[in-house]
Amino acid sequence: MRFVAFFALLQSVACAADFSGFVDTYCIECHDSDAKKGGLDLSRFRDESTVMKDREVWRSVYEKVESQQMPPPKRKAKPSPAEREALQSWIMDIAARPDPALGVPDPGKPVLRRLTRLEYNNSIRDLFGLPLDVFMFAERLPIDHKHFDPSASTMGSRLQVPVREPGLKYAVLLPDAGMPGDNRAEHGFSNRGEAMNLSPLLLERYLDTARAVTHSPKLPALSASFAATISDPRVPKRAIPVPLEEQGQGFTADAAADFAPNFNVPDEAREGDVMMTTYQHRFGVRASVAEGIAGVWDAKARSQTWSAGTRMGLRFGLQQEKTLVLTPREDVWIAGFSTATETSGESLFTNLTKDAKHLHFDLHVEGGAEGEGVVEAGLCALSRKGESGAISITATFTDGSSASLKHSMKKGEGVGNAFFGFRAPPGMHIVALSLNGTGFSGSYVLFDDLGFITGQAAVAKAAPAELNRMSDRALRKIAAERLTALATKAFRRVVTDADVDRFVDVYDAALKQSGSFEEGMREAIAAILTSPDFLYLSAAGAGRGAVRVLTEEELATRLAYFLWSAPPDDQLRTPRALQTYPQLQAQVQRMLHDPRVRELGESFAVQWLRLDQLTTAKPDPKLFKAFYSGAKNKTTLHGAMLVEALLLFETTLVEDRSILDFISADYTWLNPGLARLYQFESLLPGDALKKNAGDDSTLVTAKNDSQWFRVKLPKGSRGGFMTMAGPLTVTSLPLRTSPVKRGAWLLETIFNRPPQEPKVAFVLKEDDHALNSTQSVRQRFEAHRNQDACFSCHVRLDPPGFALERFDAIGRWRETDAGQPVDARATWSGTAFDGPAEYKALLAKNPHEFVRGFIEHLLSYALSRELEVYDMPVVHAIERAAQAQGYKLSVIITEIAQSYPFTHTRSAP
Amino acid sequence: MMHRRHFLRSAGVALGLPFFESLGTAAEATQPQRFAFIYTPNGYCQKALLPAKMAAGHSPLSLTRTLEPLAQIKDSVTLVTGLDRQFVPGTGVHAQCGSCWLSSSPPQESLDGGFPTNTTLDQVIARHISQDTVLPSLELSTNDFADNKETKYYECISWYGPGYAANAEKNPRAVFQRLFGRSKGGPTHSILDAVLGGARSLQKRLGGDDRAKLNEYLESVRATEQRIQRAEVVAKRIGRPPLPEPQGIPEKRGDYLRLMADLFVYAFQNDLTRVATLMIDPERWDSPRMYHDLFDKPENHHVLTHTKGDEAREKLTQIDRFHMEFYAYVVQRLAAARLLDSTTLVMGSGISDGEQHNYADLEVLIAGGGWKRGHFHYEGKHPLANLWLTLAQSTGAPQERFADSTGVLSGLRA
Repeated sequence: MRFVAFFALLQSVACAADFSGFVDTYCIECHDSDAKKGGLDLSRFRDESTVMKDREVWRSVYEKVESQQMPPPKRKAKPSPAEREALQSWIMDIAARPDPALGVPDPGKPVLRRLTRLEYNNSIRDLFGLPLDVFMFAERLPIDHKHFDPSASTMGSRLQVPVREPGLKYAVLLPDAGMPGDNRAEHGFSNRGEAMNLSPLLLERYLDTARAVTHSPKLPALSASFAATISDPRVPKRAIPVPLEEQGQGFTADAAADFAPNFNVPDEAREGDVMMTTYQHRFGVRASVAEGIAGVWDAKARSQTWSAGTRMGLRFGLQQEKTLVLTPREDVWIAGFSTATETSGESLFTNLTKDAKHLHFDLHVEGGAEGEGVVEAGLCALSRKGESGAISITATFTDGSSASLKHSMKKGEGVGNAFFGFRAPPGMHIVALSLNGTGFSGSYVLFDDLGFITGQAAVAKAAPAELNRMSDRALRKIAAERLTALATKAFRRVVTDADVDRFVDVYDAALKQSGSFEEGMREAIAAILTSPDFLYLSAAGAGRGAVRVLTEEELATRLAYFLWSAPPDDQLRTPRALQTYPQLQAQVQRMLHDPRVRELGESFAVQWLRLDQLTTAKPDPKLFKAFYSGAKNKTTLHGAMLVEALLLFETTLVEDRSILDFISADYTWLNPGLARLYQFESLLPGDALKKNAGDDSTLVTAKNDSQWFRVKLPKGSRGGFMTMAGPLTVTSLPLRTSPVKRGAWLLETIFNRPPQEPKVAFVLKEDDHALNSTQSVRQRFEAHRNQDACFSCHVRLDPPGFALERFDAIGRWRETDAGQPVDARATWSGTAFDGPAEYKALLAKNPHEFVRGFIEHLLSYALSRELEVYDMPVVHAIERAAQAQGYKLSVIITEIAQSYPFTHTRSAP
Repeated sequence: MMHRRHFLRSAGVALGLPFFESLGTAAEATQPQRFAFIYTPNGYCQKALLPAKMAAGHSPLSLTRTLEPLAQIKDSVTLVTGLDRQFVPGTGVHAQCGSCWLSSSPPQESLDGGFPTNTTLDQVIARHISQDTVLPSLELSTNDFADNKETKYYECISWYGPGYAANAEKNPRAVFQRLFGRSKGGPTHSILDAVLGGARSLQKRLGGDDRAKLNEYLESVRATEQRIQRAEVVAKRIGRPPLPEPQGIPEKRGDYLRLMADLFVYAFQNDLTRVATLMIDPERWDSPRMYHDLFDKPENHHVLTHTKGDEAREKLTQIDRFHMEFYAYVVQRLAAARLLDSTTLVMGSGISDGEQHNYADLEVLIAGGGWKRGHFHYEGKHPLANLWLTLAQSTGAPQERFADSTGVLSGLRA
């Protein structure tokens, strides 16, 4: 029982009415072949067969009649609601009919489209099972997404969501590579086929990136499947280095991922040698931990003695498979000190013997890659109440050379905690650290957080002692088999011998050039990653009949790129996994609980709400001081505004809530910064603004602001996207609000009915002088819109904009604008309202326009194409299903996934 | 304000490597023609740019406040004013400023979902004069905004055909690598063969529209193959690259613009291409940006065009002057490289008055050999396409019409 029952279902919409009566009475006077107002001539539609030939026109008639823009409100003769409804249901029926040329309803043209930059990254990532992104790109939100767990059924009430500073590097496979971004489509998403081009420039970038990926020295270490694919079958299997066991003397611990997470390191040692790393190192550790090449020893015990000469193994790596071995030459004491403030937890390490203020550690890596050792190291010296003086640290490198750093410690607990960082010269490792506190006044010299990053020094790669004997033919056969397996996954389809032969040719050429099997495989895989079958998604291949059901492979691909922006995983690719509707529903359910579904929020929702434009919003620093904080106004609310909106989408997804929450949820997520902006501090739990003694105030803000609290909102205030600071800021100018921008955003985002582009190159006066004006924005605005030429559009554009005038250009509630009381009264669909709460209540009471708009956005995103007239009944059906089940997000997603256009395609264009 | 040190350095390199002279007598006689098009967004502040009184016809160039920075190159530059483009209703007022500047397509030619994109002038010229160079054309942009705020119509001025935008490179380092980078070795040719085979096999399984889409891929592979082959030949001729590899996008706006111009001048000098476009900034995009040494905080060019008052007008004029200074730099740079006589350097915007979104009365600057100097002003309806047709015909291309052209501007040719 594959997907067949659909044709019949779609045709069961209301029966045809006599459309010509309506047209003759209300339309033809302006829209005949003579007057042709707005370029529209309805007189050419004599009967239904002429209508069927150009149905697209009737979609716009439907919209104009439904929104009561037509017939023009000022005309005397107005159709009754029943007449309007009859015409609408007739148009809906026309839209649902079989396409005259196809003989069945049109599922839309097959779409050949290039992967977006995000999808391209994710496709390579998943092909090799990488734990990180391939390169850095702007669509990757600067948000640590560890908080997002779709396998849970609740988001809880408290989350940690650290936001990366803008422009800060993070762990990727190729830090120096990158691809150009994709433009969004006109009123759509960046994944729409026709909006994307491929030029020689881009092709060269694909080729360069593919070769950079397959030649990355990190890739074999990060991807076991890649390592296995390229490994020379003639090389005898090497014994894998045995990680350090807990044996004899010594102990082991797991390395921490965060360096100095207490955010209290105001100072940095600068006196001394120059080849050092900076305090940004702290972030560098976290990024490198994601690559499996870093860790932190954060000295956890309350009181522990670590004897001289005893090895401590610190486990790190992606599977904790590697060990950093630290061996002290003196006895070390791990303890808590009440007169100091630790940089992580509540313990530190120091000299065990009083006044023996010298500690020396030898260090090396075991169980790592060949030649892996510590290339960067950093640690914090802690200041102490009543003590001061110089501390110096020396790092020794592989060749015996060394570098030293010195710092004068300030008096006082926490206030003078200082960072010491070292980087080994190229090709070398750090093999020892000497900590010298003889210049420090106290009897104990205190340290915390020894962080390290490892790298592979250029070790001359020893040629394998001997190769197993194997004929070239046998070798080539192995290459072909491995390439077949990889290409099948990469191309998301069964590959032919002809396909594979092309890549074996590349392997041959590279092997001939380099003499290396590995090199042959790397180049052949680069060819696979540059192939159109990898870079493009298509529903190619004509089937029988005018319209066909997607093959299982095609459907799996469509589903995966819809929900994950990534290729299908093994479960989806299992044959016969997608044969029936229940199977499809089960897969959708599974996918919605997979972490990859975060892209639905980070890609779909962010583009839908235009939050991708938030980073370039620059509220005037003088007028909007509250937006900025920290030294040189470096800290902004951009990140918090983004997170608040994202969390509402994610909560709706994870908890499978109603999408009406997007309009007016009774809760929101706040961090201290946003709570301050909203004047909602009282809603936060008491411990939200905790401050440690000695903490630097900006660092405290950074630490607290990664804490998010779910709060119940007072009635009639915020709740839902349109009254969040993010969208309110995106739609403002640096100096003031813009009711037009807000109105246009609302019409496009919430209703998917963007205002029409003007027919003339009109003038939109944007007056920036908010400072000197005594007129409110609204007052200045009324003057403009009362001009005849402007009024007809603005009558729909303005009410939402006026409602939102209650919020200033960074989303703060306000009572006055330029000294005038804010006037947030307007009329929507014939009902008067005052202010955003009443406006939202109006929308929530009759959610049809919003729900339809949302379904259209999501369907268009899922299909990667613009919606057409024949999609109207599909949207209508999904809306009814959603309504019946409380507008749950999962219902809409599932309905889209099993909809006719999603599961079918035209066999020919 | 010229950056003297920078300029001298560039000029020094240029004089040190007189490429065409080294080619010997045959090449000396016939310098190839070259074209560069520079686009500035959001129109110009009309009051500061235009002389108070203008009459139709030819007059000496008057150095108005905006044009003052052209003083040093006055004898090499031509201002054309009063040319018109047809606005295509139904698509954004800014969307078609830049995307349609060089296509000049009238409403009846809008083959791209209502957008009047079509094969642009630079591509038409490239097909005629630059087919045998390493890159038939070089598309550059200094739009370094990281958000994808607008559609491609706002940031592409060069189009291969309707809806088919030529991607512009924004990173000077990547431009350098394409122009002067050394082959990274490896079996690039066999990789391109393999993917071309894959594309042909995929094409057989596709329908009409999809085939056209995949053609973009096929053409790109062929163009890349060609570029790599030619680059290998040219690399032997050039020897060392004429400038050190840029590290990325320079921090200061002026440095960024000048570096991109240097790159296309070097490309001309070494005959790596003969046609270049540079989009200085995208249309609208409503994101403030720093104009270093001009204002102490970021300014939003588009918003300024719609802001009343003298302060905003003064800022707009500053931005226009900043772009004029840049234009003067490029002219002097070409002159120092002895390329000015063989190059036609065009700068303009898709609208004249940004506040009114006026598609008529456009201003265009032309520098280089073959054109009469001074100010040409046209009254009444004169399609911009007439100028484009004039430029196209100056290459000897058998072009009888261009977009909605009604004839050539014969008075312009020297």
